[in-house]
Amino acid sequence: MKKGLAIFAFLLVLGAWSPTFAYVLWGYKWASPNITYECDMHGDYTTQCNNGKTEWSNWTDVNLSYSSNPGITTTAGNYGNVSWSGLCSVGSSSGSTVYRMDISINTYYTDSYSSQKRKGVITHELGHALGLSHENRLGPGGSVMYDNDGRTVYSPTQDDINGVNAIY
Amino acid sequence: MVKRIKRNAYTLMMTALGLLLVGGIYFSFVAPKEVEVGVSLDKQYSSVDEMKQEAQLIVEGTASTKQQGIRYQNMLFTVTDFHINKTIKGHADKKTIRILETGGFDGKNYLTVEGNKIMDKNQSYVLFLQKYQGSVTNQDAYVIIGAYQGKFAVDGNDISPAHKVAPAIAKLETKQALIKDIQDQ
Ligand SMILES: [Zn+2]
Repeated sequence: MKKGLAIFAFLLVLGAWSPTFAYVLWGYKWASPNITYECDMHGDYTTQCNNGKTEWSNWTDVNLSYSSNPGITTTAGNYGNVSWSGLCSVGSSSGSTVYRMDISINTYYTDSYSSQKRKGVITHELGHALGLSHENRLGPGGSVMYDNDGRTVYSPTQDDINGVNAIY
Repeated sequence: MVKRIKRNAYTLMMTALGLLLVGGIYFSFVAPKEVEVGVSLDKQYSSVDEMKQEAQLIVEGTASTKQQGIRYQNMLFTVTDFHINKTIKGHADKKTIRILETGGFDGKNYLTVEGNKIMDKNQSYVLFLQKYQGSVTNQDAYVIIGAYQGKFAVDGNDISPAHKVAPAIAKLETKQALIKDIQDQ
């Protein structure tokens, strides 16, 4: 009985502990935490990109600074009904070190999104650009790295922040 | 004598180390790899029925060897010619249709979406499709529902759902089970 209780307590502690390490790393990292970006899209896309960028930069160990020849590039365009609203592809890398990450935002979907939901997509893609992969175990409200636009958080959560800080 | 053995062993060891280094460099930097692109899907489909509702066309057929990569604003897409053997829902104007997928072979690596490569040449599939609307290609094309979610590789009676699909879709193992799911309701 005592043993059962001890195991139960152990599992409870384990259960409470593991979600704080739910983040998943993509396997890529920048050579330094000082990373350059641009948010030169248009209208609200530029605004929401800057909002997302500021949160990642202020809340994590990463420091994002603007450059006209940046590491992280952003494009908003109509890619059509390809089922993704945002995409981040490795533009240039050597082994696991990245030199450029290209973010594409698909206005086919995001034009009809609220500003908040749009910011969620861009912040999610910035998370990829910093080295995070998808995190679904915490549910749609647990991580901005939730894999689809059903997410209910539009800013990095503590788990996302822990993930980035584990890399840099 | 001992000296010669020592020298041979040394040569052998250095050769082995050299090969390991070359192999390591090849597999780390040169050999084609699967490289994931980090997407945000507009939605995750929970069932075959949900995909069926949104599909204009459901077909069984074979991917041809004709694939064309298209670069559009920093991203790679691939159009594959697909020969239809059987139409399960809807109507296609032609026996061979064009399927547009995100990713493909960029000359160095295979770009994947949630671990899913684009269609393999000469492989049979059941596809849930929608007419493509957009400017990546201006020729008639279809896209797969949910990027990869409406794509099932077919081998005889066995099917393989894509990676990272909802449990109700991932559990399907046979063509009969899939067709039954499509025909139900
Ligand atoms: Zn993603």
